[in-house]
Amino acid sequence: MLQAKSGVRIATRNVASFSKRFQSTSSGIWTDFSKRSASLKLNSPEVKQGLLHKINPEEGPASISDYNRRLAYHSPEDIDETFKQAYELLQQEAEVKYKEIEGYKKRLGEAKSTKEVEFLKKSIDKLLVDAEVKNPEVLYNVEYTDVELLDKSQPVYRHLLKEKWEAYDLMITMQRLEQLHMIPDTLPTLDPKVDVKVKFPHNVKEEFADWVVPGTVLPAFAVSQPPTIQIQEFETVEEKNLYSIVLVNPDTPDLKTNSYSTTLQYGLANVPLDNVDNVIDTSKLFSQGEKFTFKDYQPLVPEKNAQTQRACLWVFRQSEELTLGDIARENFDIRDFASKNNLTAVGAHIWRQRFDRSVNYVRNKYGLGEGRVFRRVRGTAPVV
Amino acid sequence: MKSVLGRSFTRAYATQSSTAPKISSTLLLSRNPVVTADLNPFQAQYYKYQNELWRRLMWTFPKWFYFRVGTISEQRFRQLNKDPVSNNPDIEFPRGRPEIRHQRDRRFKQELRLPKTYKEEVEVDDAGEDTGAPGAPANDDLARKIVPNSRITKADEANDKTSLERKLSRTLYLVIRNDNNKWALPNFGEKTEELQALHDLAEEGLYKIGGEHINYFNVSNTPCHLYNNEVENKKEYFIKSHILSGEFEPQDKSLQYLWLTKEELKDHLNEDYYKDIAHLLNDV
Repeated sequence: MLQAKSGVRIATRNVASFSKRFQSTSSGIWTDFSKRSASLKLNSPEVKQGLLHKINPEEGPASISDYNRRLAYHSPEDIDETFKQAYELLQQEAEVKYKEIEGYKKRLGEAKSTKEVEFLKKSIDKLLVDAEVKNPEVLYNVEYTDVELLDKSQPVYRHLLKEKWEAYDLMITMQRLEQLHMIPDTLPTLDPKVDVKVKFPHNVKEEFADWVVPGTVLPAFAVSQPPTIQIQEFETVEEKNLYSIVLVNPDTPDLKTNSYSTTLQYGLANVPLDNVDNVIDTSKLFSQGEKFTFKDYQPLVPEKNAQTQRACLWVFRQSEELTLGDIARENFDIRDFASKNNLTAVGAHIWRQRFDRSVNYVRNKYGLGEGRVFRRVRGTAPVV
Repeated sequence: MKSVLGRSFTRAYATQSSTAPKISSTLLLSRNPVVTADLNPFQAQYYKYQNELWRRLMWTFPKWFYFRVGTISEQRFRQLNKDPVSNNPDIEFPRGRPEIRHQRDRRFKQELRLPKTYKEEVEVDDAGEDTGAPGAPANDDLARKIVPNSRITKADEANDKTSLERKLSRTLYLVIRNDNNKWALPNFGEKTEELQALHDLAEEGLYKIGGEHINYFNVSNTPCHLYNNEVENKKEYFIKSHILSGEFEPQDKSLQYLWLTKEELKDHLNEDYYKDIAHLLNDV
């Protein structure tokens, strides 16, 4: 056994020479970063070695963290040669695509009508996706690295992220919007275009500090500060788009009509965002918050025995800059607001709140006074 | 000078158009592939890899079912198949513990060697004669080893381009050397004054140059292509058919003919002519 162990030690000492032996020299478009963005590269050299070349049997694949499991890994037979040939084929296809792109770029330089320019730009984006969508390094990055670290200015990353979003997050969001009747209680429907994510970074507990899953019931203390909102566009945004965001509560008890009214909890307008700069976070609010905010953030504070209330966040894409007058918080008509300002909803998010121990603390913090306590009242109709 | 040239030009044109082009029928006679298409290197490699994967995931051979314990055949099986390294708990395995089930390490494929019921050619040759060992079969024995025929025929080895037995995996087309001493698809012009169907013309011509021992299938009486032969002032209508059996036997000893694949046609035919008909030819 001693022998085997010492053998391993020797092998680790010779890693550099060994990995060179296992590397096959290939020079194609996917290894050339003079014209392509460096963000398409797989950064870890060990993982890259295992992904693209033969795995050193005395080292194991670097993607497995556990040492013993890594050494016990045996790659399938013939995979190295097959992978190499497939990689070469795909790379050749990508090379053709890049040549096409160069042709399109030349045409773009000479194009005059805006229609042609638009068409050419779209074609280039599509080709950029096609040229990289089968690149193992790109696919590895999308699958295994942190989404927030990905370079969203690359069309291929946006394309792959969109596929991921459509496969899970979008379905969850749409299910929650429909089952909790945010649609059609606030706006009639939604044609989702952007991925909207919300988190409350002031929380220390991991449970509340992470991105909120749509529909979660959150305690009042967890939402006592304005949220960080991420709006991920999947189409190319050349110059910054303007967005407006409203947070409404359609479940404010209205005793007069024995019904509910809608309250505007938070309002932002004319927020410029693009593919990369896509987060409205605390630092942005500190520096430019006054420009964007047309209604200050006031968290939902459901009173005792009132039912669970929905915090409905709507994201609109603006076609032009808005000038909004004074908007009242109470009896807010969101449909009227959207149609008057010519806004199209592109994304939404929802969380819920009910009365809990921290409500009174948050009420005091925002100067809302003592909350009411609701109780059941016997109706006037005789009990039969 | 210019006017004279111009006149002569128009005149030449006028005289040419005055005689109507002759109608003729060209036969696109093909021999369809006999065996499956050849794999390209990547396909071959991919199937090899898939096959290895399949073997890695295959069920363990049920030895207990085919070889009853204590029998001679079981003993012979055990002689051929040595047990893998056992999972001894006292031993450390740096490259992972073997996962033994029924004498198979389940982390890898199982390489089986079954006792042979036939003799390989090599063995017979070495011994010079049948040793009379168990399972030495007669040639018509059902247990004999099945050896597939070669995909490469004698005609391929001899590079005999006139044989129908060459390039079994490809479509072959018949070309002949025409009167201008150039390779072309066989073309048959109208001879009699009375009108004749194009496919009849093609059949008649084929039998005339290649003999009647050809069983062919005419795909359609409608021509599949028209080639305007401006040099000979001819309209060539293409009739497509497949040779099913028989042999092309040149009736005229001086007639040269070849059976060629698409790539070979490119080398033999006139460039413009090939470009005009390339889309009619099969890549496989």
